[in-house]
Amino acid sequence: MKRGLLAIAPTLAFLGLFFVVPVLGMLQRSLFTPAFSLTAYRDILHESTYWIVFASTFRIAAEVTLVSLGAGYPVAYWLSGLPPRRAHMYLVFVAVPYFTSVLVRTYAWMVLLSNDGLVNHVLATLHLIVHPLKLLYNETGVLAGMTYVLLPYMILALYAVMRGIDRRLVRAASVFGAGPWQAFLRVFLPLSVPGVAGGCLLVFVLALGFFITPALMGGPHQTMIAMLIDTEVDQLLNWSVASALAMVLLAITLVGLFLYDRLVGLETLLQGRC
Amino acid sequence: MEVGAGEFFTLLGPSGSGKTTSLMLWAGFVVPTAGRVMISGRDVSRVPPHHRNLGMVFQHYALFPHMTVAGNVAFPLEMRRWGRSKIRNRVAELLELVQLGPFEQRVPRHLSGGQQQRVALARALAALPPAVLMDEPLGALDRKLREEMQTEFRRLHRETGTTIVYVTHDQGEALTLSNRIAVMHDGRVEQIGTPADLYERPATRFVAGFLGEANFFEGEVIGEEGGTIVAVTAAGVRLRVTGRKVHGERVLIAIRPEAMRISTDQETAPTSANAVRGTLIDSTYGGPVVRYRVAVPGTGDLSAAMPSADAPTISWGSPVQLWWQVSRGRFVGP
Repeated sequence: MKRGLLAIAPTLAFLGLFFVVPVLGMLQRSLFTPAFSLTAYRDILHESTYWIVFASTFRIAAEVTLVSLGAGYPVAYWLSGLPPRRAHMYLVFVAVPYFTSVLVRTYAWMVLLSNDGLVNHVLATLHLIVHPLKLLYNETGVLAGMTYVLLPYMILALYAVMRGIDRRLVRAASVFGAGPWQAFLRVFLPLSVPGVAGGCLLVFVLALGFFITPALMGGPHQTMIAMLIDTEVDQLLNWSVASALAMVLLAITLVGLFLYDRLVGLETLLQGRC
Repeated sequence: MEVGAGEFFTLLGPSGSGKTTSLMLWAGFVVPTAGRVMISGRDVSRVPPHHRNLGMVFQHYALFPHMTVAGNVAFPLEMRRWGRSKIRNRVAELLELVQLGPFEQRVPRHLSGGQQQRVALARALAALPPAVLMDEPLGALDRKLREEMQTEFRRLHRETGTTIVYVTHDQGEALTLSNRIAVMHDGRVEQIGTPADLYERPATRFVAGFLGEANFFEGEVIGEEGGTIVAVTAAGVRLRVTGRKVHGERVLIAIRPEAMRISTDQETAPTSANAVRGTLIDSTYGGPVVRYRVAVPGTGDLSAAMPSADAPTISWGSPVQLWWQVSRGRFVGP
């Protein structure tokens, strides 16, 4: 036990010094200016700009969650029906984008979606469009970029739960008169609900804190909290409001992760199975 | 294979014998490459499972974990679009039948293995299917519960009159439950018959050995004596067996251990009986019967089982003789 503690001490010290201490410092800055006051939080509550940004942050996070669910559910369903060895091989492909930085992936998407990018080029060549579609610096661009980054989390969360569903139950349903679609709706879908809830929660919470992708691929209507915090610090030098915004975001994230842990279990994210 | 209406029909065989595959053909999970599957005179070979209107009890129950007991039992009825009040009445009736009325609102994981089994049974019977398929339904239960459920199956079969097609590898279970049994081996049906037929008149060596125990003699017919066939084995043992065979034919003869009598070498066996001599190598007391193993030179080890009350006490290593009535031997296929 003692020896174990000793082994993790450097990590703990590192995290304490460079993570816990700054977070506490931020909490302090949000509450003391220099005397204790809730002014920063009150400002956030009373200023409509913050409300608008919070609203668009939640809207974008919700949209990304829905698109990820729509795209991820069939993939996870298919993967969970494969023999485990093959499924794990494909899961590696699902996780491969993790190895590249978000910045690089975002730039790649910008190249694809720009006015003279690949997507518009192909559509124009096929004579499906005359003028290039506006795919960047708006909601479409942000959704494409963010969904791409967050989809693997959705797939892993869904897969973890679906793998644990006994497929013999679907067979049983068919003996008792359920067609393939009914068997799915009445048996498989309800049993996959924990995965749906977990995956949505996770993607939603992660989406709330996004910065690079909406900053590079979005327009003024896609301003998210993290970008607002950046503005407060970088241009308005309003550290107390920036800290208060960060604390609010942190609180929402922690509640979300707590709920995810309750629904699916955080460890499933690391194992890719139940 | 044909199963009559109201029959309790069992597919019996070791694992890999094709009994579960046969059941899957009936259920519709497997499409036959040759031959046909008929239910109530209708060819259903290409009909998907959900249009076959069968009931089924699965090896691990396969109860829907997200539904209550009542929800599980109602499922087949909802799928077949029964009316709401009809469903409610039928579910109540079924839960009464399997004695689970008070558990209606529980979910399966809060039930014991035996109770889950009853729910599975009620669900299988729910939509009044022409036949209920059962795939080793008692495999997951312990011995005592298994015997209880066997009694339950017999009661339900009697009370509902449903046709049941049952799959098991347990010969005792098959003998206890079935009206008729099909013994399967290597993907083929070896013999179909009533439990008594199969036990007393096994047609093949496999059936004789799989359903109970048997001693085997291989020999050649050398003649006929007053209506009985006389055969001689390679070791020179002369056997008389009731039956019809031609001179020179190679035959396999099976004798059940309980048909064998054992006595010490000095006593004489009745001249009307078959007898062989050997050495007692083992005897075990098993409650109602005592089992003996006797080494017979040139033939191998034979076993005998005698009711404890009549069983002689013979010390191991003694010379003994085994004898049996001519009518107790059976010709079985090769």
